[in-house]
Amino acid sequence: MIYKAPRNKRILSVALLLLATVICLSGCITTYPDEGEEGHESYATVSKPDANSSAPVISQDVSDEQSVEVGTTSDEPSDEPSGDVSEATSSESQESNPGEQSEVPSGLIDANGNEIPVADLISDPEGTVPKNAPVDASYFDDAVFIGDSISQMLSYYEARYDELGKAQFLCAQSLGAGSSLHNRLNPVYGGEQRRLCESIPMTGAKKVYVMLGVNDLGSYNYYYCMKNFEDLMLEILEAAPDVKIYVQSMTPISVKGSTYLTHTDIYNAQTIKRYNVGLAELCREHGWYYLNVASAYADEYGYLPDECVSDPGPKGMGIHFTYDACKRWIEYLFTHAPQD
Amino acid sequence: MKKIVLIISVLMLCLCACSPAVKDVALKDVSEKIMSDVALEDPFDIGSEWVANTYGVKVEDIKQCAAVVNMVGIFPDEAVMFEAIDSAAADRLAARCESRLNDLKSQAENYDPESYATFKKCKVVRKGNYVAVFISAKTEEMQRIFEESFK
Repeated sequence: MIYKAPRNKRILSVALLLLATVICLSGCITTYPDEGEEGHESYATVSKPDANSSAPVISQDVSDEQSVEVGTTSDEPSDEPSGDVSEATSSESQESNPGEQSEVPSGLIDANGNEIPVADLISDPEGTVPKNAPVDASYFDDAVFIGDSISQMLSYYEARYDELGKAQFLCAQSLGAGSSLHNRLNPVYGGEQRRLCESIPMTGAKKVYVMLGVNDLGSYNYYYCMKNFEDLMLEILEAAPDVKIYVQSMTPISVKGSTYLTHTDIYNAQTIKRYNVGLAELCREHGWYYLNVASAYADEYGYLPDECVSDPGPKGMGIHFTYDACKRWIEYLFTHAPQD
Repeated sequence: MKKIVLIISVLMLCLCACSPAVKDVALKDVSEKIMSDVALEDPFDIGSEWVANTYGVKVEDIKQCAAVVNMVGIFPDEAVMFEAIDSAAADRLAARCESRLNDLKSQAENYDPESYATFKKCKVVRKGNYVAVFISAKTEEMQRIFEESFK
């Protein structure tokens, strides 16, 4: 005997079936608040996960042009707990800060008070690691490279050509000693932004190669550039006392870079040389290695040659490297490994 | 009897509807198509090790991965795609991609307005257990290639 449901019940059953199907189908499609085009699912962008990871704040007394292109990660922050960073980014502020630091470091002025020739701007400061026979790539197996977008380029080059052994990289665009020290910006390690004193021990590295500067020069006067760099290295050494610090000079900028980055009071061959001489002095004082990477690039006037620049002006910053320039950098590192 | 058949039919329909019918895609093919079709300056496959380090992903969550970058500009183009081993892993990978995107936004904010504006348009894309993020001014082109590979 075949049971025959009443007509209205059959209609109800079909309706239920259709309803269930629709519910199932709609329930299995995840919809996000920021859903884009049909056919894909997208995640809405979330806000910053951590206040400490926020980007640096632009100084109010920096011109718009500077703040845009120079990447002025001003560290004068009204919220600075230590209160030790009160300098402004302008050259005026550089003059108004601690007097003893405004002196031109030795190496830029000769004994008679004359400025040294521009050609000497690329000469090795005292204490620079001299050229040696090239080391094997395995020398860099226990190395970690700390840096900004310039070093980030080296990390990309290394990922492609694998020339630096098992070297690791802790880089972030716009990273500076100041922004790292004050934890406004730090490189990502293990998927999270961490202070360098935390991430470096996690890498297990014993050689710490550091190249910072371009983002500090735009934000701090000479005194604080040096102080932040020194404090950052000391903080790293406190967390990882068995590492060796290899300080790499800031590299030159292009004369064809953005017009407000080059030929300013802040960024030119002289200020970069001054910064590098200061780094070399810190290295002598603390027994860190100083590598004058700049000497591998600078032309006779202390600027970055065109063939090395991947972002020439006027739109580009004129500081980032081409592949060939990265290769030159690596060659320098191979031939400037300390022998002790 | 009819009721039982009806219930079974509904259950089967539910099961069918809930199983994501996503086509298997070789992500290396997609990355090659991105490199060939999108006008990027000197793109290259950067390898899964870089991705694992940079994105902080768990290798055991990944079934396959492909990543394309280049070395141009302050913030180079970056296209990273994963196939996760399961839905939960895909959630984790999507969160890591989101984190990477936010990190780059943090770095670009107040530093490179052009890149920051670009990053604000980028988003994490998901197709079943496939997760991708295209951090580039060409994000839409890359996303289109990614999605078309599932058709």
